Amino acid sequence: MSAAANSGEILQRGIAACPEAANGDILPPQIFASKSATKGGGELHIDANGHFMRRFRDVLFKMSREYSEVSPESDRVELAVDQDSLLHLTFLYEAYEANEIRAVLTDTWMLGQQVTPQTSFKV
Amino acid sequence: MTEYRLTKGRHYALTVMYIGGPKLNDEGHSKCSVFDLTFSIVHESQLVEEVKCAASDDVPSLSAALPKKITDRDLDSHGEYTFDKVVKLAYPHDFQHVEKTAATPRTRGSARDIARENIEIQLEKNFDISASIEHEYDQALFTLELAE
Repeated sequence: MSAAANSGEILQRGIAACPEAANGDILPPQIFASKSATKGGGELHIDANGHFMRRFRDVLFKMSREYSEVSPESDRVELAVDQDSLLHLTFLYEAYEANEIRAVLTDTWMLGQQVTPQTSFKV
Repeated sequence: MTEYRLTKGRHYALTVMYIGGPKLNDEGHSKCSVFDLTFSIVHESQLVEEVKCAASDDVPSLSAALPKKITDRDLDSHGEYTFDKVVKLAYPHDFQHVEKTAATPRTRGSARDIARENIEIQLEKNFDISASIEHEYDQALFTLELAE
C-alpha cells in the first residue's frame, strides 16, 4: 500500500471528489473464520452455517494521479477459514480505456504464495 | 468472476489492485469511479449438504423438464412459447454428459464443465429466442449460453 493510501489521503481525496462513493461501502480489513474468532466488535465473519455473503456497493475505485501497473493503489482484505471452503469474487464495474481491477489472493502462511484460482472469467 | 478454494486453517490476504488513470468527462475534468464486489465464502461441506436433493423433492431436474422439441403446436395464441420453471441440477442424472473443457482463449482462460441440452425447434416462421437463468445459490457457480 502506498504511503498516501496508508494515510487515508487517497480515500478522503476520492470521496471528496466522488459523491457516489460518499455513501458507498469500504472493503473490510478482515473477515474472520467464525464469530468466536472476532474481537467482539461486530467484525465481519463467516456465520454458524458456514456462509459469508456480502455485496459491497459503490466502493471507491482508488485512482492514482498517474497510471501505474507497478505500484497501483489497492485494498487488502485478510481472511481465514476453519473448514475447507470456496471463495467467489464477482466484480461489477464500468470498463473504460485501460482501467481494470485485479484481485490477487495470497496464502500468508506460505510466505505470501499466490493462490491460483479454480475458475476465472470476464463477461 | 473468480473462484478460489480455501484450505482449512490457512490464512489468506486478498489484494484488490486498481489499475488505471482518472476518467475524464466532456469538459476534461476527472470523474470518479466506483464498483460493486460480491464476496462469498461457503464451507464446502455445508454446500454439499444444502444442495442435496431429497428423494421426495418434486422439483423436476433440468434435463427432464426441458422440452425435447418445440413445434408450432406448442405456441400459444400470441405465437409465443414460454418455459419458465424452477428446476434442479440433480446428481448424477444431470451430470452424466458433462464435458470438461480445457482453458482456452475462447473460454477466457478458464477450464469449464459444460452440460449441453439440445432442444429441436421446428417452426414455420422466423422466430426470436431469448433465455436467462437465476440461481438459488451463489450467482457465480453457473451460467447459461445459447448456441444455434
